[in-house]
Amino acid sequence: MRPNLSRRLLLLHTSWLSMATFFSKDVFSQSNVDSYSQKHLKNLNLKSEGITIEIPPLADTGNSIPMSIQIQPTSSAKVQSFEIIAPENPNQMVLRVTLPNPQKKLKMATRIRLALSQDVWVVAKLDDGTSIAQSANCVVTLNACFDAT
Amino acid sequence: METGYRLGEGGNDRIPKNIIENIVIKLNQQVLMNADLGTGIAANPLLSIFVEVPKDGGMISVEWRDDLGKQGRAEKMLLAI
Repeated sequence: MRPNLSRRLLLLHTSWLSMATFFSKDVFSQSNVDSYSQKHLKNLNLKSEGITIEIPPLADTGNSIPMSIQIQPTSSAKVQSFEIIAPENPNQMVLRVTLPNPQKKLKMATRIRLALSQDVWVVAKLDDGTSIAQSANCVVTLNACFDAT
Repeated sequence: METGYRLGEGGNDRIPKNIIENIVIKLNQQVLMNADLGTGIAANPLLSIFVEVPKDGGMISVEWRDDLGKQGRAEKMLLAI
């Protein structure tokens, strides 16, 4: 028996497959990346008081850039967690720290990798439900992704 | 630490990602800090923190876990003078 299936019918019947793929949840699961974009972080308009970022304004290589952070909220709130975000990196989330016992003052240092010259963001969540954010620019003359070290 | 973006010697194959994913710092068995690390941390990672030592001192421990499931742990006694 010859199947009664023309090319047009085949396309019609299989079109739901491409539509289903397009609208599937997995396609949109990448949207959390947008929450780390420079534009999104700027649009949040979070207060910057209480966060100090020390990062060299010019780095010869993006492979290892020393960075130190001090978070001391001006209100009575305590620091519950914070994130270091590099919006132009392939993986924007650099470091996420959570403190089971919120602290009034937090000071820490680390070394980060930057793919491009960019603003590095620190977004801290406080125990009163508010967030504060601060950014610092770092110009990288040799980026971390194309260097073989 | 390997980011997963680096190419091998031939320039063809990517070196698989291998990074420390999680570090937990405990003081006297109480979690002080839980850190999730991304590929944006330097290949030779450094996390420097300030800890308030209790009057009686205490045991500080650092536990790490990488994306291959390897784990490590180090601890040191803190003395308050």
